[in-house]
Amino acid sequence: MAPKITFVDPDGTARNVEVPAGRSVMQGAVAGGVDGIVGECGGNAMCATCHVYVAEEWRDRLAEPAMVEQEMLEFTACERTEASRLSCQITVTEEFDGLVVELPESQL
Amino acid sequence: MAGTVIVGAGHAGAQTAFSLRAEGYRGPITLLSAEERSPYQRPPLSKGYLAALRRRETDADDLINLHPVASYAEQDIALRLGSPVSEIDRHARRVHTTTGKAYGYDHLVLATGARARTLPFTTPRSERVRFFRTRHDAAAIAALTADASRVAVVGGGFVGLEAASVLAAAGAEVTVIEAAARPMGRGMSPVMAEYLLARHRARGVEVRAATRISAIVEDGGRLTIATGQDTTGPVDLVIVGVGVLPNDELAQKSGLETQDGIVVDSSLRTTRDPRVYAVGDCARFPSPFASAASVRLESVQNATEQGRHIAKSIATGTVSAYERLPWFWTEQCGLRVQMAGLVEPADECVVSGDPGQGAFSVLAFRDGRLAAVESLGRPRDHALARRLLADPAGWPEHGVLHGAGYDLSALRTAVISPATNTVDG
Repeated sequence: MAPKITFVDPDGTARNVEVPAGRSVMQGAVAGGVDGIVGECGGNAMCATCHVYVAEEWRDRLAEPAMVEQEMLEFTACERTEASRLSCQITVTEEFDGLVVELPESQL
Repeated sequence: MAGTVIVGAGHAGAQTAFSLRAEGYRGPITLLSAEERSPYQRPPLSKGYLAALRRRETDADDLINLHPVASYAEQDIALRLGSPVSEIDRHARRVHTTTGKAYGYDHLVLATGARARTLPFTTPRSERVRFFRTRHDAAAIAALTADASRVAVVGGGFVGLEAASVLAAAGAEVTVIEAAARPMGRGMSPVMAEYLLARHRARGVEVRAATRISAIVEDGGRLTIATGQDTTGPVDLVIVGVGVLPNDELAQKSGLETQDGIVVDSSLRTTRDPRVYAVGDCARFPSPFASAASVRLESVQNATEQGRHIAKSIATGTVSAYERLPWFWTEQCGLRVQMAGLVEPADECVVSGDPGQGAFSVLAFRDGRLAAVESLGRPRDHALARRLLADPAGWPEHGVLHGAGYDLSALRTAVISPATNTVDG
């Protein structure tokens, strides 16, 4: 059973998507038809269109963002907060079952 | 209402279709693709996809889908695969496919892309001479290199050198042959190109510049490449990446203006028919980021942003100029170069940072202003450049950057607005 990830729209609507371990959260969202994630550059941390806000209880459990991601987070269309991550840079593992991320109003 | 017909389902065509719906367009949308497979991403073909195929990752194919296969129906987009267009009847506002179908349109979007340029001589009809453009090419190259120990790459552009990088990392003996004096001479500064080439050479890749090839000869499954006086090879595989040609013949045949691409105005409408647009690799458009009167760009960002632009035009009935900063990236030798703006041969280039440390940017100045930035190991510079260069009217003056020791961060407060994006540090 692949880990389930919950994507929460700005209006509070939640959707669960199974994302196989080894994929990025962005890849899982695109494959699962989550509209709030664009992933224009294909997962290269080049476009900042896969911005998510990671739920507080999960933040410390994710690996620290690399420098490239840190810098590209300056490009997000919506406000960058402490919860901000580029979902293409979060690789799903079995431990991420139940991960909750909120989507910004806009990616562009 | 006949709706919108889009010819070509690459990045530009698919983006146009989805953005039309996102912009509230209610008319029928028909997306015609010559290929049989659901639309896919191209950049990974010479990068991660090629590497994943070589590692025999079974889900490599799913990973390159542009959109989930089901989403076309969900968005009421009629995706017609295996439907090459043979004719545009602009008078009747109808396109005809080679399969005998006809589709009427109110708006026609040409997103026909580009195809691999061929060599100016007959190449052997061998599966071991491969061009690099589609996923079929990537799959064939991955399969062939499983047991190919010697590979020649003809063409030292981004695609050729990215492929060389992947194959060398997998243990192949790679020779890159480039006709021009300098590989990556188009679209990259000399200093950045030289830096990358030195890295390729350090990993055992032989790079032969200023070398024209006159023939490729096959003998018993092995290939030899004639280059003027001498030869390269024998090799097991030849990968040809000598650029692309825009697919503009269909437009030309229907009386639209073409010149190395389908000529469009600043709003991306064809010059002779306001109901017909061209976007992506096939479109030649005026760009405020280039010195030339018009450019044709081959990048995902250009394709998707142009797709969004005309989708908005069509959906809302408004016409506006397309003025988005071009950006690109390439991955070679485990390094990534991020590029913002278009570097031109006459630009004055200044290095910021330390190439010896593998972290530097090349600042390209044109007419005394910063026009483009290439960054290696300095993503912050790229991020800043994307903002600094977004509006050509506001390009920073050379004197200002000189005064700042060519440190882009010094101009940071001018470009990061706390209201739109809060930044730490």
